[in-house]
Amino acid sequence: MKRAAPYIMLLPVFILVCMLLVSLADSVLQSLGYFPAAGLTSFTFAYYKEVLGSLALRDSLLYSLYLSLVSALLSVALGVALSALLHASARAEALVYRLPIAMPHIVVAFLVIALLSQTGLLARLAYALGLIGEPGAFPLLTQDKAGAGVIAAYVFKQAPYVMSVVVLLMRRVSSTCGEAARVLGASPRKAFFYVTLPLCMPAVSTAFIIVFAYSFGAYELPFLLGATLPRAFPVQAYTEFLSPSLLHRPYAMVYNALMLLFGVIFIALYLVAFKRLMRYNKAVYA
Amino acid sequence: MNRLELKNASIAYGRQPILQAIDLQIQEGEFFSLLGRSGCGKTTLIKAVAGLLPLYAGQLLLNGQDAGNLPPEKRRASVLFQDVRLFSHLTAEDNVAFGLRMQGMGREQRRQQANAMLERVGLGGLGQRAVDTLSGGQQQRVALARAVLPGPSILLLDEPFSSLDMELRTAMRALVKSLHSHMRLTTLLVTHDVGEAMLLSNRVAIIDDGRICCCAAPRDLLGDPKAAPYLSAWKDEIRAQSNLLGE
Amino acid sequence: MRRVMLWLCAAAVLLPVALLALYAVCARWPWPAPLPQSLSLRGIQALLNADVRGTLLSSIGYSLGSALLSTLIALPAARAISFYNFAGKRAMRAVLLAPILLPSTAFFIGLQTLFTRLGIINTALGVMLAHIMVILPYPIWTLCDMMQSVGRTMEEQARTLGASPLRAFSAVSMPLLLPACVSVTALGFLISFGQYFLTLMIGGGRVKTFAMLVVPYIQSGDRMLSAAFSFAFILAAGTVYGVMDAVLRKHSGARPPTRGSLV
Repeated sequence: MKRAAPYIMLLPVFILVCMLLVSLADSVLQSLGYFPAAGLTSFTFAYYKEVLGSLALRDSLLYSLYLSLVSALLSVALGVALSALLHASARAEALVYRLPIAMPHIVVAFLVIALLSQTGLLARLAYALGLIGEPGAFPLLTQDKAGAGVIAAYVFKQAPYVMSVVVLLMRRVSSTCGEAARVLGASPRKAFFYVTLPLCMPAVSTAFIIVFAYSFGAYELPFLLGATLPRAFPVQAYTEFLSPSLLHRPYAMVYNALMLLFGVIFIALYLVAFKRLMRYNKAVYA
Repeated sequence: MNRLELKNASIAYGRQPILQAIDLQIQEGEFFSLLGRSGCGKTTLIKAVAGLLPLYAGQLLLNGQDAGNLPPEKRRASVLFQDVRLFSHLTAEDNVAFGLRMQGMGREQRRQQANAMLERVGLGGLGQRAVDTLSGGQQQRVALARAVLPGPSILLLDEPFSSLDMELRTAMRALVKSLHSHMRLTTLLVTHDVGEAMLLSNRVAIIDDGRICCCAAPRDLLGDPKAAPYLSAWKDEIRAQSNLLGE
Repeated sequence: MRRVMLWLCAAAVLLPVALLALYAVCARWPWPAPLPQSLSLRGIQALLNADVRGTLLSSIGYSLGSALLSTLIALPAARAISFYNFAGKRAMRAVLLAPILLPSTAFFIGLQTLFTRLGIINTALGVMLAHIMVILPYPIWTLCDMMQSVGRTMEEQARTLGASPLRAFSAVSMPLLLPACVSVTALGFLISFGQYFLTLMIGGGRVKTFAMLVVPYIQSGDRMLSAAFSFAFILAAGTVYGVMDAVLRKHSGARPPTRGSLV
């Protein structure tokens, strides 16, 4: 009975985990052509061949990778910068990051439209300042190919998240090793860049991976703010999924399986970064 | 010359001053200990001398110059912290060389000196090791080497040996004492361990209730009636131990 | 310098919310006027509509329910992970990261096919289950951290004094864990309340949450209603979160640090 204790405690989680794994396995099987509900019962790579060769896939994959990479880099840079500037006082940071974390993505999407669209607040400000004469003259920032609106929305949500992950650690590191660096002759800037920041990097890199993975696979923001062409990968996948013909399902599942593959890569990268984090953590918290 | 001088200094942790009316002079090459119970403000004093905390009142002079407004990186007061604080993203060698790097010394030269210092503290050949693979005692030595190598005007030790077991503690004390003699390193040790203070120091000061109650060479302190209450427990223990040894 | 940054950040965060409030009551704001031309309460009236209120309340209910269940499931799980060794522990770690690191679209589409087969598609149960799957990693993560830092030594002490395992846990450890439980439930609530795509996928059109009411307005370009609903959204989320926070503060006087969530 005692030995069974952990298994019993984990039972609900285990059931949910099984459901997760079954649903993932399902996607993969369907992508390989095994979809009894539609009468497809033989395994084939044909769907993969077709999708992987298609322009739609290539364009949407590159577009999503571009969007995620840029927004993740900006979010992390901003999050770290904010942590660096504000970690000295505890109440300060809470003010900055609590609200964006509480706002759902769809509301942030609307805010971006209200602020950055060609009839948005910034455009009106530009008009008032005499910089532009009509809405069309304001740069297209929403539903544009460069994804500026999507990136802005992601950064608004993600920078505070990065900050929430980094700031506590940074405070601890700065007050221990950062101080040690100061008495060894380092100016505040040197102490930060040579000691505090490097020691926070594992945490920063795990935050980067999480943020990158999230923006790569999420549907809401590119759907509301992204360009119509190329479609972001999640939007493209869902579009395929909505096709009325069940026979088309395997195509959508190829998209799904590819996303899952990326997911597995993200998990692996995260675990590697996390190990490093644990190593540094021991020393910092000693 | 007085390396360190505190004149009527008050030091606060937060709003209230913990230490008041501190008058202290530490001479060049002296090994000075500050004795006091846990929580009496010893660490706060170290931080103030190092520049990590401002003085609440009074004056702080380093090498005869007013250092009250000097930032820590300009003070050349090294600290060996209680919690060691090694930089785990750097090797042992790079940790030890850090102070020299901040002084602008070139790479090869720093490496040589760092490795020589590691040799000196008994860790020869371990320069390339990651610091979190070292044992507690080894880490202490690296931290000591790191604090000493840049040639500080004064070395501040904040109860550095309290987490070590007896054998390591004895070895570390001997090491610190030997570095002190060979390098003529002015040293300020704060501790709650009476024996440690009495055995290592040229002079000992006792802190009580936020003030220094007495200050003298160990032998003279033994005869000082003001010091008696603080030393009695220690004396009793020594007597009990020597009875046990039958001496 | 620090103060300047602080004010800038506060502005960057609060101004958009003020903007929302403004848009919510403006009827006409034609280009290029810098301020609204006329105000209207149509947006607020739409919010006060009985159906909308009903959806809002039921959404809050669903989300609170999902969050509470997640915390309840996470408690024993976190304990098992923190203090026991069991087969597949390392694999469990990787799997628990899945809802956070797997592309959510793929995850949700997968769930849709599974739930269809299980017959819980388009039901409140299905939606809550799906929300729980998305929320779970966060309470497990946070509670693991907390449990590891609280440790078992005090419980073990209580055991030596004769308390049963359950009593030892509830009398000794639980009070220390309670703040974290409350704050993690609040986080779970925020995560669930803000879901759009997931509820769409699993609930079809049947299960309506407040989040789903906002999107059509955003898509149609009706700024007033979008803003009104968005503002109400933030208000509702903020209120529930604030109430939990206040309960927390009253109980323990301190706020335990939790990492935020992305979702």
